[in-house]
Amino acid sequence: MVWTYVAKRLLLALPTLLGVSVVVFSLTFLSPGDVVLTIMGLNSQDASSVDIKEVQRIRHELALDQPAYVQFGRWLAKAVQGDLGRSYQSPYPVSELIRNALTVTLSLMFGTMGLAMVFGIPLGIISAVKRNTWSDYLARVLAITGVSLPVFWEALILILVFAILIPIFPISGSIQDRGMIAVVLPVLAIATHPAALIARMTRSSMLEVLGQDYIRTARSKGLPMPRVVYVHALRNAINPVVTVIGFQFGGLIGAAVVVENIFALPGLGKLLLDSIYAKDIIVIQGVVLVISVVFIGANLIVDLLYTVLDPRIRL
Amino acid sequence: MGLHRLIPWPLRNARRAHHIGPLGLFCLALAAGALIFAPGAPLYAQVCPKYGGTLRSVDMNMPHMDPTGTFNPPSYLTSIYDSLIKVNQDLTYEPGLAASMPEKVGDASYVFTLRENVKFHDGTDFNADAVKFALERIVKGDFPTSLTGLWRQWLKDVKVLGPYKVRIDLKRPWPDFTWYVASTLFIPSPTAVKKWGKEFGIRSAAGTGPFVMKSFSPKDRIELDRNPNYFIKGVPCLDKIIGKQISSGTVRLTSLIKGDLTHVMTFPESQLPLIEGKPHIIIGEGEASTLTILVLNTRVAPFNDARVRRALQYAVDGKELIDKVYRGRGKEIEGLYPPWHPAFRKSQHLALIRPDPAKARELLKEAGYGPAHPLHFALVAGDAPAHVERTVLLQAQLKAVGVQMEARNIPYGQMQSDMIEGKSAASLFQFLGGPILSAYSWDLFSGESGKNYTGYNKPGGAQNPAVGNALNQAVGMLDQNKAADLVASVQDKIFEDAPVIYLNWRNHREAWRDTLKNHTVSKLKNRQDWSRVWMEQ
Repeated sequence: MVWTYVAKRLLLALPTLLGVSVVVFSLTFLSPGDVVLTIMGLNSQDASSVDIKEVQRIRHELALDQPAYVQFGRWLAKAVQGDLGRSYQSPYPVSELIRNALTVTLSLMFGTMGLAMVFGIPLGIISAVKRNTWSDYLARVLAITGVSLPVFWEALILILVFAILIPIFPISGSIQDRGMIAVVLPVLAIATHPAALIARMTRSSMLEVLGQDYIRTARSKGLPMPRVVYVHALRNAINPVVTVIGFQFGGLIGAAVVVENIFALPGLGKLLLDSIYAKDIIVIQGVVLVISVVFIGANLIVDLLYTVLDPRIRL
Repeated sequence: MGLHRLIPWPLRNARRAHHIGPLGLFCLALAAGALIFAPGAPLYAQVCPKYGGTLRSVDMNMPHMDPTGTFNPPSYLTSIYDSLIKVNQDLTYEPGLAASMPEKVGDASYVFTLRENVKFHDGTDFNADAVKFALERIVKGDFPTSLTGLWRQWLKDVKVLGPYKVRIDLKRPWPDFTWYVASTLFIPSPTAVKKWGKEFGIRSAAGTGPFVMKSFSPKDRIELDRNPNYFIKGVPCLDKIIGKQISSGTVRLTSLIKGDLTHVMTFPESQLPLIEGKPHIIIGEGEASTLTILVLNTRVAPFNDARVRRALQYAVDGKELIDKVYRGRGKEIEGLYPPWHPAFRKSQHLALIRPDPAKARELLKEAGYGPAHPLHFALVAGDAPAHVERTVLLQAQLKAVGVQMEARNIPYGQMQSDMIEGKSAASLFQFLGGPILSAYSWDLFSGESGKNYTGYNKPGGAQNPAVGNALNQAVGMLDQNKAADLVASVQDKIFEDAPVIYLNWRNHREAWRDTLKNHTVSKLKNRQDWSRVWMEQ
């Protein structure tokens, strides 16, 4: 039953991925800019001037002067065979560029979600259980603050505090150079927002469940409070929280674009941004495809988790 | 210094006496110990006072390290590969892989005698075949690069005259030959290129340069190790170079202050307050490297009218831009070339490019514009802070004479694309011209140039045959002094025609920690030579 559901969802993902590819290709194609300028080393303001005849020659050699549907068709024909092509800017295979970047981004995403759950869920529970007490107010203020802080600002403040004033973390650097310590500040910068959202969702969901009759019954039976909260209430309150976590997981890519650029981490967000600036459509397509797969995959996992967490739900 | 001087005096004496003795033995042991235990101690002629250390710099934005590509900055590439001629930071030339400067045969042939016993990083020999291979590879054009078109335009043939002698025949005399050999003809190992095929430059790179590529991640990170077999004995001084791509200006400079970086390539004036006066930080500046102009499309209204163009030139104040946006770090325009350029000739009619709002209003009135019918146009510019600041200031200056300028700040690459395709009427353009004569004159204003974005002297654009003819004649002249004089004879006509609006020259700068020794700022932006710098540990 579950496998039929998974297969059906995966089949439904195919038209979604195709649609995403068409939209991204069209938008990139219509946007101004030229990858040939990047190939010629002229993507920055420090460049010399460029010969238009050379631009046209290289454009022709790379078949970039072909109509959009021809270029898209050529890309699609290879992509369905698992070949995402090679970047226009270098002979690097796109799949390899993505693989290298994905390692960094996934470390960030899992680190972020882990941290967000570790802080967000207990904060939400405390806030709900101690409703309208000083700990609830404090937790709510923290959650509101966390949601409101822009990621880029947080990243710079974290650098100022923990890399300059108290120099315990590096300002920038790859995992290759510095080890996992390189992702501590980026993870902290990204985790605040999802942690705050998770805390708010946990609180409201827990409040709803804590008002239910069966909770009152459990308490009147004399069950210890931790058991009531963590076993009876949380189990039933967790489904909306899992939904939020699933959405946040996919949405983290957006925050990664900002944070990876600030901390110079060679992840998927940085690769995507660089490719957009260079108008390297082959890499953009590949990265967006992978991001879509991660998003679809995260949602599928969330749906499957519902059945584990709440046996009443049938797929 | 003779090598014998490297031997301690007791040993030299002992050698003369044909026996070593106890003091000699002690010195021998001391010398051997020093050689074994002193890390980084040179076994060859000592060029640098200190050896070892790692230099950490930025701007590693290269997608590959194949020398047929074009690079900005070129410093990482020139650390791996050498050319036949080396261009120094002060723009002087010296033999590189060639044993001497080339011998000119006729007007369009050059014979290079090459250095012997030079090895590529993969252990193969450098010779005349490698030079031929490198040039033919560029011309063949398997790798998409702008160098293909350039060399195809000039190169007739390359002939191997002997294992270490090669002749380059050109289709016609090329005044900029030395510059282009030095700045574009880098020699890779033919064996490595054939072995790696399309993946040469990303999986592996083998040149003859002072550093060997150890690892490379496109547009992210490069690690270069000292080449122990470099053909210039005693260099490089550094053990390692690590290049990173850090986009955020604040993060780059903060990393420098903290010591995570040793060197930061160019950064805008607005970021100077972040590092000025900080301990252990040195800031170096190169003068007037970048030209800032407004490129006007003379094929379309309103810029097909010379009076409108001239009015804009009188309306703008490049000096105010220098003072307010560049914080005084720039030069006013006094000729077509920067003041340090050998072709610089000061204009005799500087008033043509100096602000004069009254004249601007008068010309606009003549062209039919006034308060009731103001001139309105759109300017496309980059979206970096300095571009936005300049755009805002220009907007204010033009408003003062009744011109309404609508500004569109977009990524620089997109702006360039629109400009070269002739899609925008006016663009704020900043570029590096280099030391060659054509860059600031023929390229911008000849009807035959592919880098002329104004349409000036091209079909449909503003015409001045006297300028076009003079520039076309000058670009082929081998006597660069005469060529410069010829260009100077028409520079005021260009100012008068105003196909571009001259704003100013902008300085460039670098910052580094004081532990980096023997480093100076290159005359051109981002042409660092890492082979002779060292780290004070």
